[in-house]
Amino acid sequence: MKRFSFAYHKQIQITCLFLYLFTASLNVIHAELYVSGFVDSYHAVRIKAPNDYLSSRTRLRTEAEYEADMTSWFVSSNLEHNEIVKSRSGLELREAYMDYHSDSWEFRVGRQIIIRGKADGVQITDIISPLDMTKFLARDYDDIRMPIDALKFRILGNSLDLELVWLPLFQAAILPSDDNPWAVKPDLPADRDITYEEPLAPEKRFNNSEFGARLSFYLSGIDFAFSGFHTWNDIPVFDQFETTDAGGDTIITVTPKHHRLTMFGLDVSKPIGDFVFRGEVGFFIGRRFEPEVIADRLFRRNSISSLMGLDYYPGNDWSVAAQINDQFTLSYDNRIKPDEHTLLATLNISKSFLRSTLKLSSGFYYGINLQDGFNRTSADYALTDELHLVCGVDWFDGSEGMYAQYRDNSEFWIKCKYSF
Amino acid sequence: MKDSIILFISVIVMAFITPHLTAEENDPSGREIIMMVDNRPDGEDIKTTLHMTLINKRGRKRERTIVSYSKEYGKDTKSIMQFMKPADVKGVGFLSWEYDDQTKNDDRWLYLPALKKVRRIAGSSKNDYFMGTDFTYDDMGDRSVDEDEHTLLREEEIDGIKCWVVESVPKSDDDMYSKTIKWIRQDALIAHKVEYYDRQGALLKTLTTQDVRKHQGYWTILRMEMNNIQENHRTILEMEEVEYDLGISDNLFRVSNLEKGRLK
Repeated sequence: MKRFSFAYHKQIQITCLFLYLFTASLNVIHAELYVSGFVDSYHAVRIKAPNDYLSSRTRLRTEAEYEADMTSWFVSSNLEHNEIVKSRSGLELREAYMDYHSDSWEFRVGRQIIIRGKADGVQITDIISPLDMTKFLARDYDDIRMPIDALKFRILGNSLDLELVWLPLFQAAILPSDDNPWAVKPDLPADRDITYEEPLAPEKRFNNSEFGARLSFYLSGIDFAFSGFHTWNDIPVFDQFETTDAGGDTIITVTPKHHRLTMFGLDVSKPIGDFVFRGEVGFFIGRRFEPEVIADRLFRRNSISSLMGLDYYPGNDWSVAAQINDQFTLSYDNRIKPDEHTLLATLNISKSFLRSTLKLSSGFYYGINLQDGFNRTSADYALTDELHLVCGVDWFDGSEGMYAQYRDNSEFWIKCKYSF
Repeated sequence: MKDSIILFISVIVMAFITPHLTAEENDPSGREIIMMVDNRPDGEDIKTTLHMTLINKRGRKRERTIVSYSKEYGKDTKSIMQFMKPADVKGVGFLSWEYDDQTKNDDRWLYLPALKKVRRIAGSSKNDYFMGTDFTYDDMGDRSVDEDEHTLLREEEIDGIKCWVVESVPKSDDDMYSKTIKWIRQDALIAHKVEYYDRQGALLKTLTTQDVRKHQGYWTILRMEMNNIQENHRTILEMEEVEYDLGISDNLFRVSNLEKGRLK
């Protein structure tokens, strides 16, 4: 993302802040200019000793939209002060795009977030906007999705849409930096010298751009969509190899790499009574997998990721959603680090109380292979329509696996959010 | 956020609309009166802004504003709507294709701007309250006539308006009310007042319709108030910018329009 430091752009930031506050306070400057957003302050404390702060930040999100006939412009930005991850402080341009729309087609050009698929919180065909893993999954999911520079063109019908997307430049996912308590390193022997190299990202060339298409159908009783995307893996795979220096010592070199990847997908959603069935499958060509032992290099394999989900709306302000996801590696080799089938189960339960002013929710991710998991339980109370107080617990558990690696980062947190 | 808001808004808009009819029958039965109310025709399409004010026992107010478009397709209806207020749900949108055929489930989609995602949703309990208001989904009229036994109790003039007083007793034990008593205006075939009794037979809520007038040839309720007697909480619903028969394009009722963030 476009991020500037306080040290070098303080004057610009102050000017911008003034302009944002000024426009926000007016709410509507012109009949066709709309300004909205929120201010939120979020603080999280590690449950285990030393009970240090894992997060402490305050943010102003401003969104402005201007409409003129068939064209509209949208700008969204964050102005953030982050006391724990200093590199996150500053002004961030989140989205900035222009729309042109007619009855039968439209296009959007600029920095935008593109979301696809039917899965919740699990990426299968939804791989256009990368993830911001600054705090892993321990924050609201909409904060995790990153904007990308793209041109999106859509042909619109009453029951179907055709969407074409072109991303001229690759953008990698954001991984936690070293000053971040959520930073993780590859699981490597502690008694070796390790050299971490800079990630190998694709060069900024036209033939390295990403592109894809999606054909969506919205019919009576069922939605489904076919999609394809020629891309790069957003989260790098760590290529590791051993060398011996002149003194006879062994050195491990770790190189994060991005590779070309092609995905073909299908997603479907069908309501049945008080239930909605969701399904999604993606066939990935050219995925890279890390080896079990350092002596081996990356394995190139095709894979299939599939998901089935069920939403249940029993009434009385209850909502339940369950999903199971399988990542299947084709032509599996026992030297590959992940299992041939990697299974993930998710469950989300929520209920509203007190005339919808209090909402309790709990979400679970459970890695079936390694029996590790993550739970976020929260209570959201609306002091007013605009002002919400939210508190919760993020709990990581297990002995090994993606979630278990954060078991020391289980936290209590509190957030105050004012929307305007 | 409720998943069945779309049902609620659709029926609430229909409840505000009533045609120019005159009740010529003498002493119709309770069921016939409710049938007349239920079968009232309306315009081909409607655009409206619905404003809700929730007032608790301490006088604290909360507000919701919704922009809604609906269009009739024979006996089927398509609706699209979007929240304008409060700020924390601004931009949330709903689309529904509702079918008269009882064997066919309605199609409903929800758009959450924070997630930038449209998702299919399913129905929920008709007894649920909508967004903290005092109205259940059932209160607003999406209830088959024959789900209740209707009895004409008497004719009565109330607030200078001649009404039929009809008692409706649910046939199902699952209903949240033991009975409702409705004062149906004979001139406009809309409820002037409704009393709702809980399962123990105690008065739970009263609904009063206010500011009823003809608008573009249709009787329209511009203001109604639901008062929860037991909780001392009330909700005022006001219709603003009502426009009938605009010739709304079919293209408005597309899923892709939900994602635009603002209904145009």
